[in-house]
Amino acid sequence: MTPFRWNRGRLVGDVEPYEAALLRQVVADVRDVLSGDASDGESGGSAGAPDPVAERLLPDGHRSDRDLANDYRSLTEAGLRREKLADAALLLDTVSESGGRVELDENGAEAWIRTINDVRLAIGVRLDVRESDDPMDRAEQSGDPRWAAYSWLTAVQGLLVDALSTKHG
Amino acid sequence: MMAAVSGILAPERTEEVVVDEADESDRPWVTIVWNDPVNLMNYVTYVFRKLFGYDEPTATKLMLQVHHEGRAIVSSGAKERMESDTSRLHAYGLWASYQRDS
Repeated sequence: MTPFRWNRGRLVGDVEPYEAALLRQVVADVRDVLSGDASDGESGGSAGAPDPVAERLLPDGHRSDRDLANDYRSLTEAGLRREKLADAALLLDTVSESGGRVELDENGAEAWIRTINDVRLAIGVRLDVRESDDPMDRAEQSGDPRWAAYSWLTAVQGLLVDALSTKHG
Repeated sequence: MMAAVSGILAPERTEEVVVDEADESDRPWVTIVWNDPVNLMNYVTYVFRKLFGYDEPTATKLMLQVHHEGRAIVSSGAKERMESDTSRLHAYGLWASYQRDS
C-alpha cells in the first residue's frame, strides 16, 4: 500500500494483491455482521445474544434511558445500517481481487475511511483491544493474524486521514 | 420567551403546563463523544472538523478532552438535532450518545 495522494481531485493509491485479499475479507466480514448474516444464522431459530460487534457499530444513542435509546434506534438504525453497507459495497467495488490502482472521488474516500474504521472497531471488539496495546507486539506474541491485520488497517487508516485532512486543510 | 410564545400559540393551556414546557426547553440537550481504545486521535479530530465545521484547534482540543477526560460535549441544542448529530457520529464509528445537559 502506497500513501494516498490527490491527483486532479481524486485520491489515488496502490494496493498489493495480498493486501487486496485481506481488505476484501475483513470488509466482507463486517458487511455480513451488518446485514445480519453473521448474527441471525440460517437456522431460523430464535436469535441468541446480540453480536458485540453489531452493538459497537450501531451503539445505543442514550446511555441510561431505555425509552430514549429505543426511540433513537427505531429512528436511525435502519438508515445507519444501510449507509454502512453501502460504504462497504463501495470499498469492495473499488479494490479488485488482484489489487492494483485504487482511485476514489471524495465520497469514495469518505466511504473508505468510515468502512476501514468500522473494520478496525469490529476487530477491536473481537480482540478486546486496549489503549495500551501495541498491535505489532501483540501480533508477534500471540501469533493471531488478526493483530497483524488490525495493525495494517491502522496504518491504512492513518494514510487516509492524512490525505483527507490535507484536502480539508 | 418560550413561555410567552407558548402562551400565544396555545392559550387554552393552563399556566402550569406552559411553565413546565418552558423549564423543559430551557435545558438544552448535548451530544457527547466517549473515549474508546480503537479510534485514532487524528481520525477523531478529522471527524469533528468534517461534521461540525470546527477549526483545527477547536477540533483538536475536543479530541484531547475525549482522550484525557474520557468524554467531551461536542454539540448542544434541540433534542432532534442531538439525535441527528449522534447518528452522524455513529456513521463515522465514533462512540457517541446524547442526553439532557446536566
